[in-house]
Amino acid sequence: MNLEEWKSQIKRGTLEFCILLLIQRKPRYGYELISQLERWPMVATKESTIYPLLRRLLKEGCLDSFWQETTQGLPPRKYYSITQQGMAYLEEMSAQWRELSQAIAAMEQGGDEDDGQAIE
Amino acid sequence: MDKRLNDYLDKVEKILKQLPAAERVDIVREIKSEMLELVEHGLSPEQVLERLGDPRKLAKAYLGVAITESAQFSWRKLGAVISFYGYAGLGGMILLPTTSVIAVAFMISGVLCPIAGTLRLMLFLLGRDIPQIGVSIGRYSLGAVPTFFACILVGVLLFLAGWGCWKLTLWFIRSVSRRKRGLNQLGTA
Repeated sequence: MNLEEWKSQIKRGTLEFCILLLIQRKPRYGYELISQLERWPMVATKESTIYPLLRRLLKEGCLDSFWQETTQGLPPRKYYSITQQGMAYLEEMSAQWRELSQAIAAMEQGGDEDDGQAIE
Repeated sequence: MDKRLNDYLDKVEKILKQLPAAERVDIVREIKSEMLELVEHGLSPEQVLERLGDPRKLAKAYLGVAITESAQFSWRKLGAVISFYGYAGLGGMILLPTTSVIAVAFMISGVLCPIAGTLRLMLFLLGRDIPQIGVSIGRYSLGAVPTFFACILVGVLLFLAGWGCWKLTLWFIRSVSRRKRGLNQLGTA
């Protein structure tokens, strides 16, 4: 009924997934993650959400972090990389996500128990 | 670095004082790194501060007090919690047992009453009257046939009353879980 509330719930529920997807490709630093997410309004997120979440993922062993000097005279950045445990978690999430999107796609096309074969 | 930005970092650090020093330093260093990055991208200190938002909120998000919106204590939140538990507690102690017992008792009576009326009518038609089943108002007692109709009427009324109580019970349970959901959203949103 409240679209904004619904959107923020989706954002909350998928943020971890988005962050792991981004970090899986290559190590990234906080501001980079925020700018990447800002490309899509649906997942755009503030510092006060991202940084604590990154810290939690670190503590849970899904991520590793390292400080790296930059060349262009910028301050050092804290990079996050994915761990084996993080990869396993991400794969599990991806599988669940595919299942969810297939289910929703099927429902959008009006598939129900009567024409279940159409989904296969 | 701009003094306002330094003040911001000081505030964050102060709130994080309960964390181990190494962790605290690391957190502040990371926020500082982003600040400088933003400045490098051409943002003014004001814009940087605006972007990072309330330092207390940012710091408390690290402490896990509340992941998002209202990290601060609020009377509204306290009020909502008290009112929820007051509502659920009082309801659970008084309203729920009362309405559910009444609902069951009334519905059973609503069924039994017409049965009794019918029984008397049938026995009466077979030639035996049992005045133990009957409707009496003061000294005046109804005969078998009026008793039958009175029993049907009373039975229906009792059953409806029981049904209403049952609906009230369900409504209350639903309203408690709705309030609980509202409370949860207040806590995390």
